[in-house]
Amino acid sequence: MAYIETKGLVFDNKIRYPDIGLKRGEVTFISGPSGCGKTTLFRLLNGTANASAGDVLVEGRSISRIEPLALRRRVLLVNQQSYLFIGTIAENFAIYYRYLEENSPKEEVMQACLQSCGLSMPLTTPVQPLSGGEQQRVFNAICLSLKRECYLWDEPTAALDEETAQAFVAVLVEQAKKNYLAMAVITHDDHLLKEYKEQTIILPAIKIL
Amino acid sequence: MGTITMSYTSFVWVYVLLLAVLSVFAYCHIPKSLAIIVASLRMTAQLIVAGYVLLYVFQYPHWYFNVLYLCLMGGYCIYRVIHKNLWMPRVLRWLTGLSILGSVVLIILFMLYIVIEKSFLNPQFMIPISGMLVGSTLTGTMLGLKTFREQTQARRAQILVLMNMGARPRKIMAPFVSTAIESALLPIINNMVSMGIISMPGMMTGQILAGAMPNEAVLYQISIIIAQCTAVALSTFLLLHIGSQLLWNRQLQWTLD
Repeated sequence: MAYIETKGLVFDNKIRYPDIGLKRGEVTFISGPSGCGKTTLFRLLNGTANASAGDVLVEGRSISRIEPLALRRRVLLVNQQSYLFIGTIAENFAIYYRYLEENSPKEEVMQACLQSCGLSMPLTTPVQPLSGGEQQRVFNAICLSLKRECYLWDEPTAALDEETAQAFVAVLVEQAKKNYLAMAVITHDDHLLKEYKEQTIILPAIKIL
Repeated sequence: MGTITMSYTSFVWVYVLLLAVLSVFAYCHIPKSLAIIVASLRMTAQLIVAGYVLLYVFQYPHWYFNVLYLCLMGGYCIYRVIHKNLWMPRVLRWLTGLSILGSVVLIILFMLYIVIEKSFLNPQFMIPISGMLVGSTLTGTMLGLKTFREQTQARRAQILVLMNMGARPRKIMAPFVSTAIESALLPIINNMVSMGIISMPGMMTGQILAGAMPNEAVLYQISIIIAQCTAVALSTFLLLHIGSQLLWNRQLQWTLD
């Protein structure tokens, strides 16, 4: 059974999505032409946008019956546009954990997550001077450290070079298997789409209903 | 100390000073000459009317004049705030009215009955104090809302990222509310710091010019400044603390563009 699945999902009476399901232990890749509603699909999955028809089920239960914050803490949507606060890497971990009312992880955990995302730098490094790609990786590391049941990554490799992108996706695949997580990744990277062809869903262009 | 009166012919000379302002505008090509002429004429007309209305009200005091005057001032203040912040949804506009009126009325009653020990029915105290409180609340609320709007627009990514992660709206909004309240209070706080050293406050100056003893004028001035500070703090806190939560729908989604 899929961890999260959609049934006849329609957004704004304009976009009709094919039924999809994300299984635990797997990474599903989502692609499709620009404007076909990939990011909107993710927002529908974690309840930050509302469907005009259809439903989303998490472990068989409609998300309309799950408290919004509880849903978002189970199904984490990682924005394409990362956001970091002014301060060091460690301070950013602490700020995000404080917002989510959770205890900040130990330094070893932070460091391990950073390394998983291809960054090896001291936690005392200020984030503002980092490049866009490095900031994205710090943000991805913070999200990864949260240990959610399901991750929806919106173009997490957009600001990364090909090699780093492939390494990061390999980490996601490994994490999903090891920790039995359901993951979905929006990507336009042809190389990744070819490599993970079996696990790819291509959304069709918008058809006005 | 006697009351200083000004003849109308002497008074007219003050408008000559505006020529200096107009000359600066002309020299610097600032296209605001017409605006300052209109503003000066408008101010003159409004204050002359207000002067005669107050004269009548002081001569024939009735509680309903006080209430009417307060409603007019409060209503215009609320209208100005809402008109300048059309981005606010309807519910927030109502809250703006309630928070401004609520905090101003509360502070007026406190000032009249506890500090000055005069009745609400006494227009000589009630109307000027209300005017000063409404005026500062208007400026403070405007500043607070402007800062809140600018910050939520500039840091929209922060709001959306935290929303997607499952942070509580109250936690997400807290820094935006604090910054906005701080900016609303900043002019009054700066005013307090410089008062008596590099500036002589208007109310105190007015009382002294009108013949009051400076040591008595000081007490009124301190009371009024603290009352203004409290009215601004209360109205912006009520508006932004509660209002920022009304910008999230039942599904806890951020509704502002």
